[in-house]
Amino acid sequence: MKAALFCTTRYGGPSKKGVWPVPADEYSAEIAQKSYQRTLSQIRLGDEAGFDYITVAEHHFAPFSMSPNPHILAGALTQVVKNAGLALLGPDVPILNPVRVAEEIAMLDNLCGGRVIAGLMRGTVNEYVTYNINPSESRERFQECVELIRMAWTEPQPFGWQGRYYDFRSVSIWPRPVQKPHPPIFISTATPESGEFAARNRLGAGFAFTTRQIAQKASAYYREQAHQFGWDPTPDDIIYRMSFHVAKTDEQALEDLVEAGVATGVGLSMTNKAIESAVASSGYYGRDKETQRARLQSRGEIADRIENGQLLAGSPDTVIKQIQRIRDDIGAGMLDLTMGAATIGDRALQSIEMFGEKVLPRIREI
Amino acid sequence: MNTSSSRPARKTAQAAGAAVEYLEAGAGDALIYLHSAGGLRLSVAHRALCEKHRLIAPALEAATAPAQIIALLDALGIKQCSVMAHGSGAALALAMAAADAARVNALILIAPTAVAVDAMRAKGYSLGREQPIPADRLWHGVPGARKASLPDAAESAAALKRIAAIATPTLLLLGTRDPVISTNAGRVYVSTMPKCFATMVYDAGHEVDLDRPEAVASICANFLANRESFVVNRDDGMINP
Repeated sequence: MKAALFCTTRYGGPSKKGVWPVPADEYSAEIAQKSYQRTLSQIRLGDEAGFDYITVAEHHFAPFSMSPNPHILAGALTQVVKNAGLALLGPDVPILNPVRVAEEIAMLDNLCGGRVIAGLMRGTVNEYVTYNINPSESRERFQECVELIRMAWTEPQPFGWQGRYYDFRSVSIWPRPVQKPHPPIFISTATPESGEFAARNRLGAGFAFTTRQIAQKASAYYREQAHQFGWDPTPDDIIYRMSFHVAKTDEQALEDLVEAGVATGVGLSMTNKAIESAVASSGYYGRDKETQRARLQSRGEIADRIENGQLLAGSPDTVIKQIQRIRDDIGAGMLDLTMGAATIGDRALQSIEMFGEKVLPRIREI
Repeated sequence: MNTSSSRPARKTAQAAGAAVEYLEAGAGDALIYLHSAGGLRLSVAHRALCEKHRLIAPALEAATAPAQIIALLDALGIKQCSVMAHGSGAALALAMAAADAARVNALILIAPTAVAVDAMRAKGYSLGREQPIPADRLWHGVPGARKASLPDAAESAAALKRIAAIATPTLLLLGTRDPVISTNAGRVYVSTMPKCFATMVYDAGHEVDLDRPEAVASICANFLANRESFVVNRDDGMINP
């Protein structure tokens, strides 16, 4: 079992709650710069602690994650992270220029010596407002992007692309990725449609903003579809994202989480209900819309979140048991871990160290 | 796209001592269409191109050599033309461009099967796999299954030797779902011909113009109007003036 550390680059100052997009009238450049430096410190610690990957992701117009272009952050990390790979989980390709995404990932793979994981994402519902893209086109755009990006990485001669949503007259990217034929590609396989697409195209599967129970079914479906297409995913093909906080004892971990004010409200994509409803009616969620909307709803109390596989919390021994359950139920070979109590200073950093020292070595053989 | 329901006219001309049947439609610069082994058929993409071109589509059962096609052009008084070809018709188009470079001012090769076939055979690409034809995209021809085919190694090698000297601006269209030839085939043309531009037509099979008629019509019209500089976007990008 591997682990990635995902530091969300949270803005460390006050901001308006419960809205999206979030106004910047309380924004402080000084706080923002300190927030980035804090993130880099957490990442250095994670690298030293032995995390296999450092994750970056894309979110817009909110202080929750000041990473509108994850590749810029990843570029900085190529010079900061010495041992871990870079998990780009990842660019929201339907709202971006796919050739540019291919170029950037190739650059990053070169800058870090061939240690990139290329997560190609559809983005959360609000992201479609960001660059004014119709969410009803999300899935078709995404699928076309994945094919185009893969071709941009592998086709040695210049080529044009006459797609349904993208028209490029001449593409020949420099540099090319270090990894051959290209970095491993992962997509979110929360929906049946995406599970089928990943299976058909031999892509890795990712699960985030979900529960253990929902991901268990989706993972089984993905593996079943892959088998029908003639291959069988291994745990290395499955990434599961959740929060974590490790302390010396279970009680200490829970106290830390309570002190950190671990949110029990809705996530980013549900903050603006008008947008979420409009996007939901566009077909964005696919054929099991209610399940997909439900998994983005309220995350419940701490105990519920632990039970539902959304949070690893406790002593190293307790956390290892929770990890084993994730592995048994979902088949994931890598956990992508966000800091559950990022706001409590030193104890948040100690959680990273403790995970690296006392958990990682014992989960290698899971 | 042109929604005219008029059909291409069936005609016959004497060329090199033989009667050659052909279809003709449209007006403007001459565009010769050389069909594949599956037989002469035209799609709505061809119809769209007829807005600005005089389309001549010979039935190749009676005209299999470049000299015969060139004789047909002489008989019709066509001194300059572009040549579009599909599948196995590409070999004939390339031979024409090699034989009469002054007359052929542009080539469009759609899913060409002229070269690089051995590698495709080795990988198990289809020989003679049937391709269903959707009737609503046909402008002329018979709906129903068609069989594709690939040339033998000797024909492929001969074509490869020929194409290195062809400096005619060439647009290559390959469907990303083509079960007959691989998009990799484009590399051979692009790396060998001095002015060849490969374009991948997303989600199209071997019958590229039937699967994505608007895309094919658009890129072909652009290429025929602008040749090598078709890569420059001339579309109006303004959303609201």
